[in-house]
Amino acid sequence: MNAFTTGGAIDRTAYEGLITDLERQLQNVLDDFSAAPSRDYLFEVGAIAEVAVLGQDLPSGERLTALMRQAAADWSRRGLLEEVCFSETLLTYHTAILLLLAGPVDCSVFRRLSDAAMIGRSEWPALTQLHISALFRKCGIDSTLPGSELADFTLRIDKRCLRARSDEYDLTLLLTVAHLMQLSETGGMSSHIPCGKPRVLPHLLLTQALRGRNLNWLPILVFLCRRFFGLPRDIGKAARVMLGEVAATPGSFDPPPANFRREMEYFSRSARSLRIRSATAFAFYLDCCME
Amino acid sequence: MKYWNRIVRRRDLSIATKGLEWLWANREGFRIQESIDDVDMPWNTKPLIELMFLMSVLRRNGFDDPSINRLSDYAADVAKDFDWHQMAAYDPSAATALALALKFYQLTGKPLPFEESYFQYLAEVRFFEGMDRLPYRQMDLAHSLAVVGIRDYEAYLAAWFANTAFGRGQHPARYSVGDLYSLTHAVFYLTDVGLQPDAPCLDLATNLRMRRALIHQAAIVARGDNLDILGELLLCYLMCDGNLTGREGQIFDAALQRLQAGQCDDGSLPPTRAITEKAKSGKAVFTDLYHTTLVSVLFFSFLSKAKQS
Repeated sequence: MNAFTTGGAIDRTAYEGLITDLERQLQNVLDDFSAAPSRDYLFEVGAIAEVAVLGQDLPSGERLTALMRQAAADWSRRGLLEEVCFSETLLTYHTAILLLLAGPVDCSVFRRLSDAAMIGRSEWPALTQLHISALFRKCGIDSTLPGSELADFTLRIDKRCLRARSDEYDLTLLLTVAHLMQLSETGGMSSHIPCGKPRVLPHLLLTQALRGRNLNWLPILVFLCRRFFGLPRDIGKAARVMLGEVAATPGSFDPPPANFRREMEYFSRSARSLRIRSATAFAFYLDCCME
Repeated sequence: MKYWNRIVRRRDLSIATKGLEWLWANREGFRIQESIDDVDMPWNTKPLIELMFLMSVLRRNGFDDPSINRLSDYAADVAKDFDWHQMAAYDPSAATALALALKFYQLTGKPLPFEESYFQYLAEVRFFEGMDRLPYRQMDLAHSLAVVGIRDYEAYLAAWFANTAFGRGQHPARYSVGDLYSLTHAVFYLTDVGLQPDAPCLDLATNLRMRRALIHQAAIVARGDNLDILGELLLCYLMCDGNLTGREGQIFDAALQRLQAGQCDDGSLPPTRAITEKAKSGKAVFTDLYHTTLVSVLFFSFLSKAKQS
């Protein structure tokens, strides 16, 4: 069933079906990690979590993040998040997002590890580093924030438009920037996070997703633009038309074509988590349309 | 003592010479390969650029030898048939490669295989900034561009260094291999490949801490199985004029012995024991061996110079 009626209104039954389907599929991913914690499962959870944190205050976001919160809090109680974070530097990014989602939990082990410079000091790309530091700080873990050369990240993001192709890291970067904007505006961290709102790259990627019928990226980008980066009317209309043509289920949002690189040094992305991630963003977008 | 130093120096030079011989014998490996599967960068210029980097560092530090010159000629010859403009436009990460190639051609006096004005144009429109690099890669870019006269980013070297694992105070026991390469590459840029042993943009305390970190990490790595990073750490220790006596000297000598013992009869230096076994049975390939061999040539050349002075 499609999310939009022929008249362009949101079909509430389809919307409800989408959320129920998402809850079930998300629970499966969370259960898999709980039962057999591994790098691959963590990347699955992480890929969904990095979109979920952006819509926590939306109706569908509240329902979906409630599941994630519960699971993350449980992993925190079991000491799993500390263990994962300590085991491999590249897992820090997703661990930090999950720690934030877990809500007020005991972070004393994290704090001690951080104070002893045992976690959180490795080298990541500049914006990832800023994001991890901001997430740790938000959780009450003292973490060194990168220096002043990041005074404005707009240029660095928008200049990516000049590259000859796009990859998963482009999208992740926009998610990172959106989350930093959110932490700056509503998370009481404005003094720590540089200002800036890139517009060119979000709009370019959205247009590219429309032209290439990249249904995996489309809902994420339309949600990000709608909520964070600004959504030009015509592009927004075109996105809505295209999204209205597909069934409102995670199965509609297949991963991008093979020439879009999705295995990066910092993470790998399974097809299952990418579908759920996009469907989650789609649900958030529908919420925004109903606001 | 002087006589002993001369013998040791001759041995170090002979290791470097054998390494250069291996590089020459396996020079075909430096040809640029096209990779249709790699959407990140469809041309593998890394080995050639690293060879050019080696040649440039040797020349800038006053090394002159016929075996260096013939490798330089070969590198220039290979590079002239490649479309560098296409690569530059494809991805901002090409900036460092282009800058290194440009410096190499400036030093050899041979005609550039690409339009320098195009490269300058890309720098002017800040095309090269279009990626989120690791802090030490930002330093890489800043240094490479500065060496060819584009000094826009040089002022940020110290700030980016502060964002590296070393700069952020990473615990010595927690350095990943990536963190170690970050440290060694940072030292290349901060000391201008050994030409300024006291990194001018750092204060005295940070310079001292950097030297200590290099030798301490060398002690840790020498117990492991990675001669590539060990070679880089020792090379950097020489580049920043580290103390070769006392406790540091003992660590240095012990690590040095690991490197000396690692060289194969043909002059290559396999990075690990597993690759040494592969090399012994003739199964090791160029990509297994070339990088550590490049590092060893540079390191033993610098070592002979250090002992001379």
